[in-house]
Amino acid sequence: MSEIRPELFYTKEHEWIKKTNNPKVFQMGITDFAQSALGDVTYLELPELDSTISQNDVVGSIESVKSVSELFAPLSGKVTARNESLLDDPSPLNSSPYDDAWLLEIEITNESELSQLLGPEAYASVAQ
Amino acid sequence: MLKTTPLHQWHLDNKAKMLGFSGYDMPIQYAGVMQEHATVREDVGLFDVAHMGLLLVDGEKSIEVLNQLITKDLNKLDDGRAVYTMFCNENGGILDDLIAYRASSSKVYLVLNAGNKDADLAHILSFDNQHQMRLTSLFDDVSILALQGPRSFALLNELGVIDLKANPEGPRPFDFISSEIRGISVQVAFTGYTGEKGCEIFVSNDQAEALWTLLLEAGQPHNIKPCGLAARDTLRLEMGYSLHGQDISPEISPIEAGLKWAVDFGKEAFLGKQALEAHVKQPPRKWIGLKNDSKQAPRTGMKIFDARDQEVGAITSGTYAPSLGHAIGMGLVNTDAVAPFCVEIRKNKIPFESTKRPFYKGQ
Repeated sequence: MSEIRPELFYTKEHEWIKKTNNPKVFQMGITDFAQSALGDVTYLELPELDSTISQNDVVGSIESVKSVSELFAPLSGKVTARNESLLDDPSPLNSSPYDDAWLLEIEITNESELSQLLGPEAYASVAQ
Repeated sequence: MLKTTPLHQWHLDNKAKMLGFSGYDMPIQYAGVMQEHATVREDVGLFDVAHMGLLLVDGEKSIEVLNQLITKDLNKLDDGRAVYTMFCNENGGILDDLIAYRASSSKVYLVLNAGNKDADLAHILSFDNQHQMRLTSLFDDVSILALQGPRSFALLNELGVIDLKANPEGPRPFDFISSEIRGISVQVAFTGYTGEKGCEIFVSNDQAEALWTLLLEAGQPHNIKPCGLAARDTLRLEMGYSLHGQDISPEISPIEAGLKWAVDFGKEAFLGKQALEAHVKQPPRKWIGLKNDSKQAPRTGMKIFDARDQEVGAITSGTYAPSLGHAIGMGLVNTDAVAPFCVEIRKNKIPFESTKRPFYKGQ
């Protein structure tokens, strides 16, 4: 069974979203289910810092030895931080998907999108 | 409905990630592809390759008839030796690649790709419509386990299969012998698909799991690990070995695929010979090997552009190479294509350097 954390929000694209101290800024990453399905991650593409992204747009990619997955923007806004160290060594995506391997911080521009995110129970039914 | 090998339940019990491959539900990985890849490069790994097809061909005319179907000459092979070869069609396209094991002047074993084995059998039967050879399909009777890695010979020595005291180098690649491992009758072929020392062991299906668990136990001091097909693919790609269905196919000749060495033009007529001779004079396409410093892998089907920015072909196989730490790929391009090449990866043309195989040259 893959780990699903109760305090996080999720998308059906197997991404997690976490509140930060700044109510406008949210951190995101991929779920334990996603990393397990991908296998060993070898390459990561992230959107540029300060770039503007729109919900559900493809903003990057995650490659494992055997597959390529697209990274979707879970929320609309501006990229205010990227986990630069993962670009050199993406292996924490497998070992620590919820902690060390956060991907982006997004300053959101449309708060109503938050209501479209899944809670942990709803995500559990997707991550099967 | 996918077929299974005798080790299927073992794979499930041991939490392998399973995937359909050539009609079989096969273990793609256990602990992880990177770890399994490293196990084979550094220690020893064990693969279930029982999906592959073992075919016994016997009868006085076996070598004479088989020689008309394959690209190599079995007359030039000593008994107890094996060779990499192919079945080609009349156009020189590769119906399958295989290893032929010469047991004697009247007995040959063929190891065929899982996805082609039934078609191969039909191909041989239709060619040999006079029934000059006796064909015995062992597809559902014999399993093949691949033991691969630098420490495989030490393990085989401890199990009494080989004698490293008498012969410190161990057997030569492509030797094959009959043997016994703790009471289990086996045939051991010193062949593989990883570039490392090792062997492929033929064992009857009812003994396959006993042999598998025995090898994993006896191999513990050598850090043996079960390995899945994902690692098998990255290992073979680092060596530049072709995979049928990707790098070679009925639409691709061995000449185009850079495998001229697998064709013996010195022997008499064989299926595809004329077309292949024409390809040697004027090959329609050519094989290229590519690498760069990035970790972004070129993947099957991605377009290749040459120095003139013309689309000249496509990637047939590519991966992030775990032992090298960068991307590698193989492709098929027009003969007049000019290096350097770019590969179009998700709308970006990424430069690659041309290289020969093997990509990985050992430690």
